[in-house]
Amino acid sequence: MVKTGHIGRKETAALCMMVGTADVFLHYPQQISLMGGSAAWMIPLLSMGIAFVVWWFVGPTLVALQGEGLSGNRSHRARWLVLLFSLLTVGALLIDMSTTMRLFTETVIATVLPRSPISFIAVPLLLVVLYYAYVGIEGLSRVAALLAVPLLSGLAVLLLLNFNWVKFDFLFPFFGRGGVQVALSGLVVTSVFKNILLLTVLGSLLRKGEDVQKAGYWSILMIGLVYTGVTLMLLLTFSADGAQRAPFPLYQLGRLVYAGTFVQRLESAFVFIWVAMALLKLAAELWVMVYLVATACRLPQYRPLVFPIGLIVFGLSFLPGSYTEAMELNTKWMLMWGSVLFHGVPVSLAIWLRLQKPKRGGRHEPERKPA
Amino acid sequence: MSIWRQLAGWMEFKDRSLDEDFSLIPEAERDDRAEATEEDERPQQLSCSLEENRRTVEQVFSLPLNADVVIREFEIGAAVPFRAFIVFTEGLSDKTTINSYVLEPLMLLATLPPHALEGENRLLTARNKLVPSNQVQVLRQWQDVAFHILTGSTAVFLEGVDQALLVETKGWEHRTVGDTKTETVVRGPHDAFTENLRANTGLVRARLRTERLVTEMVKVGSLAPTDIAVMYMKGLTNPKLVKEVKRRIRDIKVDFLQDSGQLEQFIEDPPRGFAPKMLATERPDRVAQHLSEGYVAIFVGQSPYVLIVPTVLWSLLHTAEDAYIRFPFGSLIRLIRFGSFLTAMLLPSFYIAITNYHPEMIPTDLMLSIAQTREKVPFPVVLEVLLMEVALELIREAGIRIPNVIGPTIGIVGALILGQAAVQANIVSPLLVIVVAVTALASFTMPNYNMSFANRTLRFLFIFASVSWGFYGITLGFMVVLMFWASMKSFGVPMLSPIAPYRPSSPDVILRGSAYGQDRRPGFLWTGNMRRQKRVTLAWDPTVKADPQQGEPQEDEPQPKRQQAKPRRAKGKGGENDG
Repeated sequence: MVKTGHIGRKETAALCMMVGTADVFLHYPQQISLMGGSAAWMIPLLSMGIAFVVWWFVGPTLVALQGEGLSGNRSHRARWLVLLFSLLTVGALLIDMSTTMRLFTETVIATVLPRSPISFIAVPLLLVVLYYAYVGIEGLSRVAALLAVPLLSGLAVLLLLNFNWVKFDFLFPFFGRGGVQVALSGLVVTSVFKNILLLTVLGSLLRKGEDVQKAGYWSILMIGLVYTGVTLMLLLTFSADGAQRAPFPLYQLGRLVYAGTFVQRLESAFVFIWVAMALLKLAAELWVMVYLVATACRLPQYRPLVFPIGLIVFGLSFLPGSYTEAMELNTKWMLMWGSVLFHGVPVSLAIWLRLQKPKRGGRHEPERKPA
Repeated sequence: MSIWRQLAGWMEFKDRSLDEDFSLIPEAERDDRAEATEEDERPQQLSCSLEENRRTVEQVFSLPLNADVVIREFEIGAAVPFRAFIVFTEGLSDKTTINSYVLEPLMLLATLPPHALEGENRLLTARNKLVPSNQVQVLRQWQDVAFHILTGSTAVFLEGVDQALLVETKGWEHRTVGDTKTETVVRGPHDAFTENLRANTGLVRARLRTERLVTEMVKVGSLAPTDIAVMYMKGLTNPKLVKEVKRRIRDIKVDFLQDSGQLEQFIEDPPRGFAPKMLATERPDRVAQHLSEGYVAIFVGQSPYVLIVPTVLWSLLHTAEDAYIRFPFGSLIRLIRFGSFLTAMLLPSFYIAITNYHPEMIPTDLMLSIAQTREKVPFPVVLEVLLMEVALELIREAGIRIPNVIGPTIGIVGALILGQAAVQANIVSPLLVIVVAVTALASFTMPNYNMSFANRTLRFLFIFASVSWGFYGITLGFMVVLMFWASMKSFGVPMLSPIAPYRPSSPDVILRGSAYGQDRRPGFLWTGNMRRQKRVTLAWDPTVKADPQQGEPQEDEPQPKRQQAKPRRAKGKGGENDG
């Protein structure tokens, strides 16, 4: 088994929440507004409900897996399934991480450092992400736990400072583009709940198995509330039409802040929040990829793979020709169809593992005889 | 010496003829050879012959060349007097004690019966009846005798006895207990440790009067051993922690260990980065408080700083006064201190980032004012900041080295003139002087000296990050530092405990809770008893919510005996207390 550390319940929940909420600083609120219109704020709530159901099914399986990990002593067929699961997960995270990295880099350039070349922004980000992944999951989870409250508080402050621009009329028509559209969109937007996939991998690293379930429920709740709050504030401030035209919603919310002479134009100050969240998300995804590859290849250490895989992601992030191309790729594959992998794979794995029992002897490697 | 011999020596060329030239033998090997030769000739055990013992003493201590060691011959008064001599180190031993409690009773007050003069009875009689010292040892090995003489004890050699009596007579000059130099408080004790190890352990023991307080002595140093005391609470402190501390100290193989600062560098966990991994304090009250919570204290001889292990990052920003003042104000000054920590580290970089990359954040009037003041300054902002920061560092260092008489004058005048002259010469802008001054004040609020160094160093890294990338660079830099701290451990305890990883503990991490709410010991210490007081210690206060488990005693405390209430006497009837 790959050597890693152990993590606690609160740290796991914080890390999963960061991974799930980091994309709220990109164009996701805009896309959700496009889907639901003035009722877009309901979509994350529906998605949260669906995610709770998924987790209700997947969670107990992970509790049973606790301590063994994905590379536990299983039948030959189950190991191939785990290998397939690992490859699919790595592929999904590869696309997600590379597009996210490109989107964040382009967002920084467009909003904060407009005259900088892209490599000047992307390379330091990559180096820090590599450092985070290299240090390991313990450090990642601790930083996430430490920053969770300040970052969420900062986000709440950002939303609340825009309260003087709020108009409740923008919430009507109440069901936006219609109840059916909103419900279907709720099914699609479950892709933002990547924490379920993350917990499938991290579940075996917790000291207590039952903590996995609690971490899952809490992180789903927080992600859902964050997306709901941001979308709601976006709609109340810009209206549905304005929100659909905002490529950097939270940045524009930051620009709107005006509470006196000295409390204005604070969008640059909120760079801390979204760069920190993006960093944690990218580092966590890189770590998961590296861990899965190391597990699949039965390596004792995962650290030597951090730099090569990080470099692959960096190279892939430059494949889209522009920001809009990257946004389209991310929206199409990650937002629209990401739930197939982010939820479908853990559910399939859970079903299979529930049907199988760990076998000893038979067609897998023979047990070692004592000396 | 020919050049070939020199080259051979440098290349450690193995040639028998070269060995004859002593100067070509590597220095370490040469000393070891000489030392080994001398030690081989020295006898291991004492002799019954007084002359032989005296010769050995002269050989060991290089007498009469070495004027520090004194030999005093005398006769012990008895019906048949017999000879003896004492050996002590001048400057380390107290002469009054030697004269009054060693020489006087042996020379003047000894009235030995005849049978007391035979063989070993002389030593036993001297130890049991003649030398009224509170600490006396009987030793037989020369190595042990020499060590004790060098620590201030007086060795008494008697004729015909192959053992020496070591009498405790330590009494070298040392600084008395005074005020703290670096951890001054307004409310709270003002005494501080000194260079005397036993005085320091005594200061702690005077506060923690419990038989469970254990002090284990370890020696480090092959050339000159330094005493190190490891203090902990038996039954409370995690025994694995104590074992690890002793293991790391015993693994130090050096010639001489001077100070606790050196010891800290030898035993700290990797990666050995910016933040200290041990709390160095000169306050006995802090050591006592930490010991009662389950930490381990390490005292180093001749060092006024005691190390407390393990430590977490939050403890490096705490002061003793936080606990002595009422908890709302304790929390307030803690918040100020935490804010100062971030201010000292980030304010100059914020200034650079805002002026260079994010000027839209500044209100228009202020921006115009800044632009006006900076109009005549020919340097970029980063150069201004670096100039002022370097100047401040010079003032800070000079302030430490400068003689006390003119120190404050030079400090004030230098700072004022430097700031004023620099502004008038248009080298820096006035706002920058304010920024740098606030940064300096914030850095002076750091209670831990080592942590302030980390703060000062990191400030420059953040300046370079903000110059290149503005807020983006500051964020990335801060995240790197945060991860570095998150991955650090102090004797196995993560430095960001008890927040990350979360461990239950009393409300004393960032904010200071009430004194009656500090009922738990720090969870990351895994002590023998996690509760240190009852959950609700204000049972008499009706405003404090009662705890359902209030009636249960603590694990280690026996149940208090209930006293029966005295029966009331009826009024009007005569009684003992009636007037």
